[in-house]
Amino acid sequence: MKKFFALLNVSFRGMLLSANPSSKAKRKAASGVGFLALMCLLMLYLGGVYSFAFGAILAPLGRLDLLLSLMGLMDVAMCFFFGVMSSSGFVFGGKDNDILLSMPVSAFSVLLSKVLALYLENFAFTLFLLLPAGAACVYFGSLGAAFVLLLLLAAVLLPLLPTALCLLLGFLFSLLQTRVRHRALITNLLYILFFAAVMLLSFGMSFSMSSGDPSIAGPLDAATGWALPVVWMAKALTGPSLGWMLAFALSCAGSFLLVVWVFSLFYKSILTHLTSVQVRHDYKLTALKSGSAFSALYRKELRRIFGTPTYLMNTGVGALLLLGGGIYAFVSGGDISAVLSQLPPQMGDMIAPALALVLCFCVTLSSSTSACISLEGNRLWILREAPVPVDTIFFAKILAGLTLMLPAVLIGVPLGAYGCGLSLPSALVLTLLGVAATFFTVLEGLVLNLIWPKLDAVNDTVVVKRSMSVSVQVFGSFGLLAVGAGLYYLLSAPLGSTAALACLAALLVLFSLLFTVLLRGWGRRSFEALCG
Amino acid sequence: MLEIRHFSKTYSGGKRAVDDLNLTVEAGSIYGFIGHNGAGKTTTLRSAAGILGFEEGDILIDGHSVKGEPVAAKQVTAFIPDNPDLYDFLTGIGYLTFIADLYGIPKEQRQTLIAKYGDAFELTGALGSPVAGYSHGMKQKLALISALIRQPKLLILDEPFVGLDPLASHLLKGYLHELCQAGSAVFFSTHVLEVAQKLCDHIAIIKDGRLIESGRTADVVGNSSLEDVFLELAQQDGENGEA
Repeated sequence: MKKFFALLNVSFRGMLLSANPSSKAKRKAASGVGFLALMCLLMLYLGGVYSFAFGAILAPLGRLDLLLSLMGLMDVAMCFFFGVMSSSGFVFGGKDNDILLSMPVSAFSVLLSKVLALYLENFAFTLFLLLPAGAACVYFGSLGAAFVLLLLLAAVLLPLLPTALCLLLGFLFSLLQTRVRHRALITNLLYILFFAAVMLLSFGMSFSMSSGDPSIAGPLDAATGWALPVVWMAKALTGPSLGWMLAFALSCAGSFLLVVWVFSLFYKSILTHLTSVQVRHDYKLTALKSGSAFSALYRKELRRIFGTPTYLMNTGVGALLLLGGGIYAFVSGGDISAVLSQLPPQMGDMIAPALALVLCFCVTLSSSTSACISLEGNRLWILREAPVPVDTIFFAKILAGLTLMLPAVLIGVPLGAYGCGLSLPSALVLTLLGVAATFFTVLEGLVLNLIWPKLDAVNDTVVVKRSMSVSVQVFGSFGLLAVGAGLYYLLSAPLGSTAALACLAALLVLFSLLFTVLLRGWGRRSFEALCG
Repeated sequence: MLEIRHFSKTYSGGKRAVDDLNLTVEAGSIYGFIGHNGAGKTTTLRSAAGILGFEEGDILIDGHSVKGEPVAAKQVTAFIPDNPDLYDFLTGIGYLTFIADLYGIPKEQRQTLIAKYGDAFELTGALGSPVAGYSHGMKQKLALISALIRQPKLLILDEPFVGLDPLASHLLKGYLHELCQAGSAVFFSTHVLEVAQKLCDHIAIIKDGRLIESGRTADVVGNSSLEDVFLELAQQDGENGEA
């Protein structure tokens, strides 16, 4: 048991903590713990918003069970979304697998310790998502102590489901990445399809929520009814019913234990199979092309972004949201305009700034540069040795980041503005704001990564999901969005909405210029100081 | 070709890895750099390659200061670390093309040299596969090819023979001589003293960041073996330290 807890300790710490051997502070940069805390806060926020909004609609219909089913399904989807790449990289691709398996511990213990580390993370997310749902049920449904106790039990059991799913899909992703040609493309496509499905469901739910339609119960029944474990959970909690709780417990624990047991039987062979990547020996040298040093660096950055599934999904999610949202608004423009036209005039004036907020939110989620230095890792020597000025290296990384986001802004924003019935000046200003925000985010990301480089990560997933620079960039941006909203409020009264948004765009351009100056001086020196 | 002048490197934390090192590598020579673990070999090599920054002293490559003219110095240099981590997401040929573009190698030249070295190291067939699947030895060979196609004036290698099979090691020795005959210089570190003794024209021995012996191999070794000389010097220096 002692050995197992030692494994679990090192696995959980490996997933979360990053050691930053700063000689002065000698502190461990607990960016992983910070990331976990921030994700929990995000879950709390999302859980609160959706729970109370749906609770207000479903409680009068006597269908609070649907709220619990919905939040349960949302939890499984969110945990799966955030955990599947961790499973692929950490459980099946961890660089410590060799050392752990060479030690006098069973393969089952090694696997279970890694899976439980993943479970603990999912448990934290689940707790902070289900607590607001429980609070909404208590508030609207006057449910008592039995409900609360069963809710806590459900919070322990529910994360077992997404953990088992992550294990299954993580294995498939790992297999794809080692066995299939164009593996990155296929993995990315699968992930994009899943993400698109989740986003469609979310858009639909948000639209129904905002329309306050009482017949929402039917669609929600259809959306959640197939997910039997969460339905049983909802019945168990709202009953309350020990019978349904037992069914729920068996479905969660049973599927988790089955998956873990099956994988444990073949864990070593799976790892052997995954690490024995096949190298073909039939390449024939053909006529080679040549290009400039800058184009080589730029192409390398793009290949890294599009060739690393975790990196692409984490940096491309904002672009996807923007593009998807813009297309959705354009295609269903009539429906959206009809809803918006029913709003009171003063609320109608809020459409452009609300879109601006959503636009900036999407852009801030797509910073490839906040991890671009960290992802060099042990390969930084290649760039440091190359006869290329640091400015050129920076420019290639910045341009790659712009390439990822600007097309989504230039296509998604005009489409979305048209779909929401905005005037031409407003649409133009929004587009400019999006472009300015893109430049700002890309430059800011590079600055942050130079402040907090993480060159010693065990794999790319740790860098992309849990490094300090990425966490600060994503969550710090939420704070900047709030500041932006405040500035808009102050400026819109004297200047009007369009002019206020234009001022915000100008401010972002100014900060982008400041970042550029900073990168040319301090940034260059910081990059040269890396490696020692 | 390489001039190290009063080079010192102190890491944050106070550790003085190299102390007032002076060393010259002439064009056409193979210079071996030996010392115990933590002696300062890798620090010196990486500083010469422009990877590690330093404040004290200067390093000149073909007359260009690594501090003052880093791009010019790096243009004529190729460096291979002891454990070459390469871009996993690129294929072998993708990596070689990337390096060739960085160094401005003309199209015809890169085609010829990649074919020459790829066939010699028996790696051409695998160049179409991602580097992620390469073994350590294959990565080492790919890194060597990427260095040799640049036809550098100064080739800096950190433990180049680790992980290479005997044929590749033999080939590498041949290509190092070929480079030197063309007027380039080679500066490399190794723990394999027999190789250093046979291959190098000059030897430098470093201990605890300080140069304790340097010169022509024949003069340094004399009638003894390099191993005996190294052990004797290490012991002597230890005794002097204690005294």
